[in-house]
Amino acid sequence: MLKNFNKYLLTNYPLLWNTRVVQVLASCLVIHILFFIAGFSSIRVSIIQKFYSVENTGGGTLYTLSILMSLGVIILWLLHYLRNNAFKQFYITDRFYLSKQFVIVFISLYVSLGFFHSFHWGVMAKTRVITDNRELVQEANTINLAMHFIPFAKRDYFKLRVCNPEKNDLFSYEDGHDYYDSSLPDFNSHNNIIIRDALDDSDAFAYQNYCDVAIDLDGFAGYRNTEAQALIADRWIRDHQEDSIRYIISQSVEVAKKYGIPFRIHPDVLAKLVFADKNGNVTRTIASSDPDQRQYGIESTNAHPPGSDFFNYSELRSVLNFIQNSYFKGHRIAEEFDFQVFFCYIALCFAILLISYRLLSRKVFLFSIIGTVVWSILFGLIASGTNANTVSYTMLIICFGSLGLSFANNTAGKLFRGVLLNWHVWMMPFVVLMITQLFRSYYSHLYPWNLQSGSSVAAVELFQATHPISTWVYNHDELLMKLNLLFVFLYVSFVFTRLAKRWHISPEE
Amino acid sequence: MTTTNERLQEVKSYFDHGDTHVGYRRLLDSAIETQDSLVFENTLEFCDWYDNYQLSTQKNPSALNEKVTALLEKINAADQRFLPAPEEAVIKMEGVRKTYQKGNFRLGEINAELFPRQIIGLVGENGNGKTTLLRLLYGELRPDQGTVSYHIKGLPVTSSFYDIKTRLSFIPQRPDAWYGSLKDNLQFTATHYGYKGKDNQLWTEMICARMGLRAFRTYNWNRISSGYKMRFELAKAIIKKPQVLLLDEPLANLDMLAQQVILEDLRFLAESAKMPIGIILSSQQLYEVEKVSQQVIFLKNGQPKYQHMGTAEGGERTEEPMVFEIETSASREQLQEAFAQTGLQNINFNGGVYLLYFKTSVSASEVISRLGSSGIPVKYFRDISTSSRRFFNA
Repeated sequence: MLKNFNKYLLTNYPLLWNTRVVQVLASCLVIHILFFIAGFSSIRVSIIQKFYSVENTGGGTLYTLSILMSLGVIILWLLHYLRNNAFKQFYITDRFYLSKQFVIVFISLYVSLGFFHSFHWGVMAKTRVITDNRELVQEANTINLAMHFIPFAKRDYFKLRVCNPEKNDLFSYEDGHDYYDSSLPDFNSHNNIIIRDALDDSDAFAYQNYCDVAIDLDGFAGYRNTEAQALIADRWIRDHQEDSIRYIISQSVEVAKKYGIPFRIHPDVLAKLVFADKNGNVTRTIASSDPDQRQYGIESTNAHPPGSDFFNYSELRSVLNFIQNSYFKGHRIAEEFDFQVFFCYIALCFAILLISYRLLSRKVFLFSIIGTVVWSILFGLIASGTNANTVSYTMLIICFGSLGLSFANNTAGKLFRGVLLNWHVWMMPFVVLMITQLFRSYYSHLYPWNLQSGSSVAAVELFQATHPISTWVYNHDELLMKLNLLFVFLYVSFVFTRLAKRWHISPEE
Repeated sequence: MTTTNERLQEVKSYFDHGDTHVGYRRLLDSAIETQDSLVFENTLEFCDWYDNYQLSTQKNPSALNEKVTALLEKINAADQRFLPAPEEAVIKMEGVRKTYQKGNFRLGEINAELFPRQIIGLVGENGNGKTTLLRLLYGELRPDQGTVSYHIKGLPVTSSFYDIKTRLSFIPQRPDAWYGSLKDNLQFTATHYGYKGKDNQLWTEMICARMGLRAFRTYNWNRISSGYKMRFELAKAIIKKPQVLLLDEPLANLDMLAQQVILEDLRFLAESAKMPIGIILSSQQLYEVEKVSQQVIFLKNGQPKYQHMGTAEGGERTEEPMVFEIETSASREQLQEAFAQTGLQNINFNGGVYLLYFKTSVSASEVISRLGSSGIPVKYFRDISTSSRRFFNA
């Protein structure tokens, strides 16, 4: 059957037969599925807390195995693919043959990379089975609300705390620091004076000051943001709803139990403590890790002696973040996209290298490699004392100079022209990167003050109005990198392949 | 050149007289000319039958003739139009010169035209520019002076050189190695030139049969001999339907019989009814090449001498001397004495054979008669008056 299929490809789709793309896709699909299954079966609810992130699952073994599998697939593929080269054997009549070949090479390389990512996808899929979207939102809301009433440190409840993450918390209170100790060198500092004034207030550490969010599920339907959580907590405190507080703490305990998070808290006691102080202040904190198992003095042993209550809040947060990262929502979509772009770049660079080897001669390829090594060393020696701009300019000159020379100097040897063509196309994926770097440098050089915080809005706006292109490039370098991927892909597919054809038919001397 | 009907008659005649090998090849040529799938299927069935027939110990010629007759009828019924040869040369070389910076070698000036259904032989000793000329024609080298122009049928005047090259085939003396089976490689080439699916299968099978490669279809590069490698290269070239075929020393490494077969095949390829080809081949096998060529270009130190076959220096016979090549144990003096009265102008000896130069009026039969009557022992005799062989000693 396989033989017949091969024959069918050979007599109908020679490019597919030659590139073995079907076999590569099928093999990679199987390997990706195996990795996915391995990832899926590796995760259980009880072990999620062992990992900081999805990327940690599998450990170093996973990455090693993935790289070995990729190498194995690519080497096997190359052994078959490099056997026949229609372009060198005869003159192909299909005008887009080389473009199609490049696309296929790119796809083959792309699917052969990152098997570990399928493992992670398996982990994420299983995690979503363990805790579905609705449960996650519910648990996050529970934990976020419960954390108002489970105090780990007084600083979280300090009244001068700035809860807007975009603003600096200049007046942060540190637990354990004695702001009244006049012997300390910063006793009379401006900040200390302000903090001392606040400490004199009766509600300096009131429960109502709490404004943290343990799990930020922005983008998830049903998620209550910080303000919404604070409104409920405030209402409960104001209305003395001790039962509600006890209930939410109990619920958070259930969440901790589900994920095997260690804790020793008593919801009844914690709920009562909320109203223990007439001014609503936090009167007692609990440890964020088991004091009985504590080895290093991360937390004050005096504040939380052995046997005292604790709630491993950071582990719980880590677990919920892990689950959150298993859903492609919010920043995860951008992260996944960036990850795929990264893979695309790797595949693109290898595909360019391979296609240049396929389209130009072996000798040209060898000389190009040797030449690249030589001028890299020379360039490294010369540029070691210069700045990044010199590097970018030189690389751009090499790229476009090579292209120009390969056109202009038609009487030069075919070998030399081939080497120039190789150099320019190998450099092409980095052209936009270099141009962007030059723009950034130009932008910074002209108005360095403009980049410093505290600049006047008017000055920034004026600069942006007078330098719209530089500003746009400066602000969109990531977008440019992504567009560059498409540009290079199209350039190699449709321009370089034509240049290679032109080179192919050109006389040797 | 023969018409289609004459060709079919010729095939029948080969089988009638027991020349089955040549008849078989001509039969396949005729079948390929039809470019008809049904004829191909019938022909391949016949090939299977013929393979068994060849292996059988008790051959039945009448059964063979019946099969051949039936197949010839089917071929005859298919489209057999004989396309007139284009009047324009497919390749025209005008004042072509090439100088190598290293080695102090100069080729040219070359002026020649290659027409469809024509074969031009390139002869000369090693290092005299045969390969250089072929590479110039194939565009691998750039002439220093002069032009090489191509007139490829079916391609617009504005076509790029790449398009032109799709219709040129060049078989180097040492073709590159290939991987996989012979048939897979042939099919790979065929698919790129538009033969897809069943057509691909039929054409490759037909070409394999025609080139005598049926038994080697599953063989790889290492398992086939030089002769069959050359046949495979020819098969690949044919399947590309080229209008120009350039061959560099195709006869090298081939035995005598294989040389004859390849040359015959080239002649039939060139004279194809529907796919006429202009062929230029270089070779050291002077006489074999002359047999199939309409023109021979002799290259010595890069300088050409043109020989239109059947005439000396082309066109009508000129006042050039008659030249005969003789291998004999007799001495120069004995030869001079024998031909003292017959207009002998000069005798050259190159260590192996004598070259006797006579007045134009002396014929080969007169020389043979004189040799006999003088009792001179002759091991070998050839009239090279109209052959480029004579240039080798000039």
